[in-house]
Amino acid sequence: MQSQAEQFFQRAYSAFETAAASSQLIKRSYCIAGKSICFNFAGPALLPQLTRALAHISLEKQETADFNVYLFDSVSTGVKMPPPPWVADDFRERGEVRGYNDQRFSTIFQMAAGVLSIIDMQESCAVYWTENAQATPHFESGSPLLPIFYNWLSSRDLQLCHAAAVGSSNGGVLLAGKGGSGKSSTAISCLDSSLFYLADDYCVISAEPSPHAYSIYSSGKVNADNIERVAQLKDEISNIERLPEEKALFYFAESRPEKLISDFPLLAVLLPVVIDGEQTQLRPVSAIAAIKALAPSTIFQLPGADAAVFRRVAALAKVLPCYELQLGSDAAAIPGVIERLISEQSERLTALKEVNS
Amino acid sequence: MSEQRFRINSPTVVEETIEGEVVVVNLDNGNYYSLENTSSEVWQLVKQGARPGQICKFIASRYSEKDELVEEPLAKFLSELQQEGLIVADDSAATIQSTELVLEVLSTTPTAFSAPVLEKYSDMQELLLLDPVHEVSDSGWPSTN
Repeated sequence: MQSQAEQFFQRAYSAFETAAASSQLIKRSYCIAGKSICFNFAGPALLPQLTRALAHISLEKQETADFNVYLFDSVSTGVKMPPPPWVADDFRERGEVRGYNDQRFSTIFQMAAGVLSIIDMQESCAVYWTENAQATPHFESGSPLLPIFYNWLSSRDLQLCHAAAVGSSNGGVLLAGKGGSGKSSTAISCLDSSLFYLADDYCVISAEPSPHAYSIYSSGKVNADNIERVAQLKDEISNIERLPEEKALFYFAESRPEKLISDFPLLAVLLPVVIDGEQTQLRPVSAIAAIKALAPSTIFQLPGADAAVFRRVAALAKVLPCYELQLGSDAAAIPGVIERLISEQSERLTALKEVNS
Repeated sequence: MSEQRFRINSPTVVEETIEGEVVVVNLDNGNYYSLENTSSEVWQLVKQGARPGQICKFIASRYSEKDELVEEPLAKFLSELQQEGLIVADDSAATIQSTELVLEVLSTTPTAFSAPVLEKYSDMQELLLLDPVHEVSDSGWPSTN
């Protein structure tokens, strides 16, 4: 007997099929952490809203994919989503719908974005719906499909993490901390250095066989009142006419594709904190400090995130050196401090491998 | 001391222990907590299924203190854990013998008893503020306009 979650998924998928039949099926494929995902759009309306931040990981046309997402909106396709079979009280704090989440299905409605995501982990697919593609908020365009990506990657023991990351092919660092800690602006400030940019807000991490980070979004976001810290990027703001109501949103795959990196070995976890004083420096901290910086904000931003987040983040924090990155007022010096750490850690690891071989 | 045993309030509460320190997250209310030293030890003993009386005796013995010195701060701490929704009453029949209780001795383990402290962080609560469903469109879905 079908569960109510499955029954609703079937109705939602049927609505997508109707939408695709009435408009045009457009496919786009992407690679995240070596896994392929195919977006199946009913009509073109959602493409510019949801694909700009993923352009750097796009794939040529694929015959098959590890995961399929079926996306449509009602305004452009004229196809309505069946009304919700639940009541207002069934929406939980992170968007999960009570009674429609089980081992197989995750049903999430993101109230602020107006987005419904239903994931079927057994069939490796999901439906994504919003009422009006043109009303997609900037934060959804900058970091699209978070619940779908989280659930899918989690099933592959990959952790979508609230963290920034910068580095090079030799290795890089995770920048962890809650909103406003300085991780995004630190990552963005590295664009004018020899370091490469993997993420400013979300990335994918794995601890096995060794710590590694993968890019998912090439966007960047800076609070409007912090724009002067990244003044050199003002011309690259994609939504300047909507500041300060929105954060400044950058699409670096369009403005700085040569500065992006798809993945690297992780060498350390840094916890940025702004200090009084000019000089940026590092102070060793415990693994627990890194877990506190990484796990709660990841858990609370991702519907369905649970104890598995802790386990994966802890696995990483236990093996990587963790530092507080004390950000001084001399912003230009920040990338150099990170570069020197990466170089030291990379040399140390190389030496260890030689000893062990 | 009350003999009511408790258990960790999972799945609402998730937690991880590293080198004797515990980070606990309450998925329902957006709070997270840090437990060190004696508070971490009490948490470990609750997880093992110890009753408050057993916990009191174990901790007192560990620090060569009288039970009476430990009893009140322990009761207060357990009450605080309950109020925060981190532990709930466990009325199951399972029991554990005091001799089966185990706590790792770490280099960071203090040498003197101090009252257990629950460090609470509420800076993530805003991420859980649920936008009220104040308008519903003709389609039956919440309107974000």
